[in-house]
Formats: sequence, C-alpha cells, structure tokens
Amino acid sequence: MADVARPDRSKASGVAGVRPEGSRWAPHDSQVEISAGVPAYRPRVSLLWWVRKPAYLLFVLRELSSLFVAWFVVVTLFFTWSVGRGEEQYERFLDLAANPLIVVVNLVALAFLLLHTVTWFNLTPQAMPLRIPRAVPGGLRGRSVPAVAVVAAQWAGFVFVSAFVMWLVVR
Amino acid sequence: MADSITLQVTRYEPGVDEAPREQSFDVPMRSEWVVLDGLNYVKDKLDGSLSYRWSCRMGICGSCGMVVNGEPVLTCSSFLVDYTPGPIRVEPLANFPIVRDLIVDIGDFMAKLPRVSPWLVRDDERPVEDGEYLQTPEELDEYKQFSMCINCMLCYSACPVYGLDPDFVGPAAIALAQRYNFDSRDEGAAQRLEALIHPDGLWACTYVGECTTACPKDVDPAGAIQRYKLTAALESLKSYILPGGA
Amino acid sequence: MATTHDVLIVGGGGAGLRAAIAIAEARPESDVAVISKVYPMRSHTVSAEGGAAGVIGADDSLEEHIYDTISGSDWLADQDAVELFVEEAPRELLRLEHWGCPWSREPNGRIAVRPFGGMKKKRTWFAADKTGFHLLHTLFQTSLRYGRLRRYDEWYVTKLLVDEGRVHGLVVLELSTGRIETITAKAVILTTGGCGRVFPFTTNAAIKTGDGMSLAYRAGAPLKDMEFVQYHPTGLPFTGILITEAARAEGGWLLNKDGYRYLQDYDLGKPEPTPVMRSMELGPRDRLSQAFVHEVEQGRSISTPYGPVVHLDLRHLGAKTIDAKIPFVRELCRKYQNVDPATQLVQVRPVVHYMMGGVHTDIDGATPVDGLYAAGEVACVSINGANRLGSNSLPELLVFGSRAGRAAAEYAASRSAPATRAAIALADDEHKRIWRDLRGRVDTRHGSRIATLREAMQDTMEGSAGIYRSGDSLKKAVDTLHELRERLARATIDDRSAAFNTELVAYFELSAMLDVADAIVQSALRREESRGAHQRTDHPARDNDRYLAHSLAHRADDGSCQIEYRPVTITKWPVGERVYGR
Repeated sequence: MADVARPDRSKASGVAGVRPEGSRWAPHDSQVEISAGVPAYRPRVSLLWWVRKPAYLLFVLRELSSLFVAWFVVVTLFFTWSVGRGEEQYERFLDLAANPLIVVVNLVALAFLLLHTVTWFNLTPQAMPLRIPRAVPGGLRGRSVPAVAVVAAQWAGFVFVSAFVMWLVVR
Repeated sequence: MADSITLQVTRYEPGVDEAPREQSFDVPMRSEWVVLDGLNYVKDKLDGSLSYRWSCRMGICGSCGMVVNGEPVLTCSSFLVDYTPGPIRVEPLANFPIVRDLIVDIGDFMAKLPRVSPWLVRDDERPVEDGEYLQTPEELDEYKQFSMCINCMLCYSACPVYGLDPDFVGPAAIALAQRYNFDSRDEGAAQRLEALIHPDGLWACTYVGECTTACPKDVDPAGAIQRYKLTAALESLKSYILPGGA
Repeated sequence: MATTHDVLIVGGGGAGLRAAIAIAEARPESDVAVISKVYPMRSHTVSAEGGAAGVIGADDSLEEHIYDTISGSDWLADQDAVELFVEEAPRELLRLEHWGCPWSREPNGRIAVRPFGGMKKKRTWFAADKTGFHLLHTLFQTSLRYGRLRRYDEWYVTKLLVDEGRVHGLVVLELSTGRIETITAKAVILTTGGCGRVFPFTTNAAIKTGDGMSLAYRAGAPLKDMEFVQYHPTGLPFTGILITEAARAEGGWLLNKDGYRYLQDYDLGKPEPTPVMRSMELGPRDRLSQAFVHEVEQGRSISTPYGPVVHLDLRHLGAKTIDAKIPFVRELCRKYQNVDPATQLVQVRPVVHYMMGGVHTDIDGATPVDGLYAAGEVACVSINGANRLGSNSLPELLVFGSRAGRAAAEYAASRSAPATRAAIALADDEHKRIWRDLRGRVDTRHGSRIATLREAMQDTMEGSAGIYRSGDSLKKAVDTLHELRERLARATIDDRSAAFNTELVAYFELSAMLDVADAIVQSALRREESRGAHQRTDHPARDNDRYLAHSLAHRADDGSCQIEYRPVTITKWPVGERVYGR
C-alpha cells in the first residue's frame, strides 16, 4: 500500500500556468467568467461534441435520418404521380430509379429509415407510458404496459401494413 | 488485484491557472472502495488542496457528482474495481463553470428551479385541522418516480442541449415540474406549463435521452419531458380550437 | 461594510428551512436569511430513512406517545417539552402533507403509519424508506415560494458575535471566493445539526461536524447532556451507512453467529415470528446497542475485517414486502455490501447516529444568550433525554424549527437594531484570525495533517466514550483531546487558495469537533451513573437521587469546560423502570 506522506511530484502532470503536453483543456479567450468575483472556467463545447460518445453519435444519426424520411416521401410522391401519369412517365420513373447513384442513395436512405423506425419504436414506451385500466381483470391491472409489449405491438403493426402494401403492389 | 490504482484528477485554481490541468495520484486499490474513497485518500494523505464536494456517501445527497472516465456518475457509488486497471480520469461535471478543481458552479440550476413552481399549488388551501388530502397508493405511484430526484446534476452534465444552450431549463427542473403536475393534490399545471412552453423550456429538448441514462435514481427525466411535450401540444391545440380559454 | 438582516438562520436542513418558512408565514415583513455551508438539499436531513412519529390512529393517544418518549429517554426528558412536542407533531406532519410531502398511504388514501422501536402503538408516518429525503425536498421546494427569503448557499459561519450577553450577528466565509463577511442581525437561529463525525463509525454525513454547537459554546451558551450519544444498532460495517429501524419494524431479526435471536437474553421480551411493539428488535436503540457489546464480549458475534458484526435477517419478509416497504434498504445492501437482503443475511453493527445532547434551549428554542436560538439536532430542549426513540427526530425538526423561528422573529421585531460598534470590533478580530490561519501560517511542513488529527480524535472517542465508558478511559481522553487541540494549532494546511478552500473548512470543522468532543467526555466523566445511552462500567446503576438532572457544559474564560447540573422538569410521569418486552 502506498504510504506516501507527500504527493509524488514526479507523477504530477500539471504545473500552475503551464499547459502540459496532451492536456485536454486549453486556455482560450472568452472562457473566463466572473462568477461572484471568481474567474470560473467555462469549457467551450467543441463543434464535434457528438463524436465523443456513442450515444451522442447515435442521436445525431437518428436526427439526420429525418432527412432521409423526407427523401422517401418525395420519392413516393413522385412515384405515385408517375403512375398516375401513365405508362411512359412510369417508365421514365423506373429508369431514374435504376440510376446507380439513386440506388446507392436509396440504400443509404433505407438504412437510415430502419434506424429511424427502430429508435422511434424503442422510445415510444418512454414517451407514452400506458397504464392497464383498473377495469381489466387480472394481476396486471393498474400497472404500466411493459415496454417490450409496446415495441412488439408497433413492429406487429409495421409488419401488417408492410405486408398489405406489398400485396397491393405485387398482385 | 493490483494493490494500487491511478487517479487522474482535474486541478484548477482560479487566478493561478489559466486553464484546468491534470494531476495523477496513486491510491490503494480496495474492493470496497469507491472513487470518493480514493479522492479522500488523496486529500487526507497526499495533497490536502484537492477540492471536491461530498457529504452522505450513500447516494442520497447529490453532492459528489463528477465525470469519471467520460461518464457523469456519483463518485460515492462508483467502485474502483469497476475501473481496473485504470488510470481513472476524474473530472468536474460538464456544462457548468468550473470554480475550483472538481467543483462546479450550479447556481444556474438553483436560479432556474423556482421558475417551474416546484411546490404544491392549490386554489384552496385547506386548514391542517381538516386532515390530510386523500391520495391513494395508485395516485402516489403516478408521480413517485419523479419525486426521487436528488438534484445531483448528472443529467445536466449529460445533456448536450444544455451544453450548447445554457439557457435551457434542463432535465431535472422539468422532471420536478412533472412531479407536481402528476400529483393528484396539485392544481398548478397551468402555471407551470406557461413557464415551460418556451423555446428554452421543454421545446429545447431534442430527446437525446442521455439524462435518463445518467440518472442514478431512475427518475427518467427524458420520459417526463416527452410526456410533457404531448401535454403541451394538446394544450396548444385546445387553445386554437377553443379560443378564449377552455 | 456589514450586511444586515432581522433573523439569520445558520443551517439549511429540516429545522432551518422549517424555521424560515414559519417566519415567512407569521411575519412576512421580516428580513430573513438562511446561511448554509452546503446547498440545502445536501443537508443531512436528506439521509433519514425510517419515518416521523405523530399520533393519528384511533387506537392511539397523546398520553401514550408521551409516555413512550419519556420512558425511552430514561426519564431524562423534560416532560413539559415532551407534552408540547407530542401534541404539535401530528399538526406539523399534516402541514408537510399539505405542502406536498409524499407520505405513504393506506389503500383508502389516508396516511399510513408503521411500528417503530420503543413505541407502543403504530404512529410512525413514512414516505417509503426515504422519509428524510422527501421531507427535506418538500421543505426546500416550499421555501422557494417565499421570494423575500434570502439564502447564502455554501457560506461557512466561523463565529457568532456576542456582546454583553446578546447576539449581534456573525462572521461568515463565502466558500467559492474566500471572502470574509460580517453580517449583523437581531436574532440568530442555529440549526446546524449534530456531530456524528466526532466518532469514526457513523451514519452521519461528512458535514456533521458540530459547527453550531461549537459556535454556541464559544459564544457563552452551554451545551446540555452532551454525554448522551446514540448508537443506531444497524449500520453497515465499513461505510457506517444506516439500515433503517423500519427494517426491524417490518419484521427483521437480529441474529448472532449461531443464528440465535440474542435480544431475548437481554430482558427485551420473547422472540415471536412477527414484531411485537416495544419488544425484542423493536426495543430502544440504547439497549440494543448494549446487547451487541455483550454478544461481542461473549464471543458470539461474527468477525469481519471491519470488526465484529451481527446479522440482520430480512429473508422471511420476502422480496415483495422489502420492495414495497424498504426498497432503499435493499438498494443500499446490494450496492455497498454486495448482498441481497431478500435472500442473504446482512452484516450490521451499532454506529453513532444521533446526538441527544446539544445547545441548551427552552421550549421556544431560546438559549441563555439573548437573541440566540437553536432547534433540531443541534439543540437540546430536551425531549430525547438519555436516549431518543426512532422517528422522533424528524417531527422534532418541524415542531421546534417552527417554534424557534416564530420566537426569534418576534424577538427581532421587538428589538431595535443591534449596536454595531461592538460587533464590528469583534468581527475585525475574527477577520484577522481567519487571514492569519489562511495566509499567514508559517511553513508548517512538520505539522500534522488535519486528517491525522481527526482520526486520532475519532479513535479516542470510540475507545473512551463509546457505548460503554469508564472513568479511567474518559480521563485519558480529556488529556488526549487537549493535546490534539495544541497540535491542531500547528497543523499543516496544503491549500493556500482563496477559492473553495475545503481544507481550511476542514480545519474549522475539526476545531469545532474538538470543542464538542471535550464537552462529551467532560460531561460523561462527571455523570457517575448509567442512564440510557451513557453507560459507565464503573457506575453501572441509575442514580436518580444525584443525576435526575441535565449536565450543562460551559466554556470558562480560560477555555476549560465546566460542568453544572440542572434538574429535569417532571410534570405527570414519576420516574419508573424502563420495561420492554413485558
């Protein structure tokens, strides 16, 4: 057991006033705030704050995914309009859609859309907790609907609607 | 198990240091020691000038919040063994001005708290002689979770919105507003909503969710805020459909 | 340039905040300020777990609560104070409920009560097992309604300014900047809590260093009944973290190493499968702690690296009851002991928990120094006498916090502004003293570290003034404490900064603790009897002829501690035998 009576100065990596090698903190202008007469240090938030933590990165990607949702809305609207305009316009749409660049964009967009869906479904129970009404008989009355059930219900709905749309399109 | 572990602690003396710096200390490695025990060892035996807040050392007073290896935690509840082999980085809470070493200025939160009227609002305050306001255990369960906040500020440290926009009211304050909103005895929901339906109020939140992850008491401020957004949206809708006060 | 207020409240915990609210309601024009060395939510009230007693059951009566309290105190409580306390407690607890406190409820929505140690009937209100936390946060949040209430958060009071028997204000250190201020006032209320940190094993937080007791002591107010230190029977062995009495109230058992419920050997009743009031594990804290010591002496305790322990058995309660009634206990055991009380035995030992003694006050919280009041654990009215019953201290904060608040405000309203010249002279001396201690210290690299002195004091107290004391051990302690005080004057302070100098605060706190420790051992030395929490191996019997009285520790001009006695106020309950389990 280290029984040192005085701090081990050789290990100290900081001396007052000098910026040590590899320090994460940097002196910069406009960081000094007078808080009740004491110059407190307010760290500046880096522009790339969101790469520091996986949770932050996931958040930013999730927010970005809404752009791709918008893209798919546009694509779907264009698709519907093309179909309505007849065979020729529809063929032109298919050509456009087959363009390799568009395919890549759509694949990326699909990935983001899945991210959007998964995160949205997972967050729903937290944002909208449901209580089983007391009128319902059984041991679960009055308790919260388990999060797993809410998420599963959304996926079930998703699968059902997707299957229906698929059937509509394919038949 | 190694017999010691290194703590890399932030040091900052205003007026002397231009910016915070790091200092390393070796502390004994004991299986029942928490990071706070390590800091106390440093202060008691190595360097008495290391400054930090602590009090109850049982996770109820909320004093000892710091950022350990990048995550905001209560140092009284974080065991050294979970960070082996180390070194363990101990920094002050993020998003607050640093006053000294590991101590931050939480005055901003203290100033914002009264804005959400965090007390029981009643139109008619009955006299004590009439007895208690009745509240069933189920009604208590509605707000119990949100009443567990120890004001440790880990959620503010975790919240990137607060980091980018210090005017944001913040997770704990909004969760506390909800604690009273959901309390069956309270009648102050309208005045709280008015204070919070604001770009720096609940609408500043973008549901990052890190506040809930950081919370040591399972208050779930993110959930509280999102539910509040739904309430606020419905109230706004109501006020359009039924103008002149519904 | 001095700031001034009508009333200053030192300490922002349950008693302090209750006093502030009481003044804001009774005399809204008063200029009140609360000064606390920590943010109010950090005050130690927050750690209280079990509950707060107040008579509301149809089968219960004020008389019974009064009797339980007086007998629990081993007849050292002042009966007029207890009568008043018991009568006002339910109203105060209801007031808290009206302010939003989330008391646990019966299915019909009424307040629920649970049994507690030493109480004949169920009368302990509770908010799960975080009663103190909810109480403090309710009080703090309610206090935010009163915009006129000024707060000085993280300011440390170093001295009370007293001239000609009257308080004029105080000198205070702003922690974040190191600025020293003089604040004058017409009245000061001390609500700084107890002093558990004088001992090495305690449920108390780091901030419980007896600051207010020392301030009052140095200002000329006597400390009463300081020899009565309460050990809570169930604290965790390494950390000292409190495992609430509610665990026993819900049915927990205390077992020695043979799995035997040993309390039945100590005249505390017969073991029953479910808890019986005032019996066995629901006996009073002093008797349970003393039983532990005997078990250790007989070799029937369990040895651990942190000393001897016994087992708390909650397994038969089942996880469901534990999670409903004592969830925090489960959380603490899992986190800090790595055991799940639902399936495993929990190691526990008695740890210092509460100070029955404190600044001598009357039933309105007034000390003998004009304008100086005290309430809560820092004060000794006395309602707790030689041993406090669990769940009496939270209502104590409320009842006497509000009484002291109102009394202090009334005093302030009836007095002209304090004479400032005398106060400024005293304050100047204090400013100089602090600067000398902070900046002007000669290089003391050969001095002791503050932590070393503090640990030496704590070890001395545990060894000499613990659950059992003897004249010899106490006399030695007096000398050791004296020596420690001299060493403190030359102690090393590494921290020369003005900003948030916690080492300087530690120095002040240790200085206060040495005052308190001295008062404890001197009072214990003089009381040659055993009563409640004060047990003398050389005087094992209770002596009502000589010692049915409170000890009063005064600080003489030469700094020495002088003890005198003051009779206990008896109204309707003549001294009897404390009977439990029968």
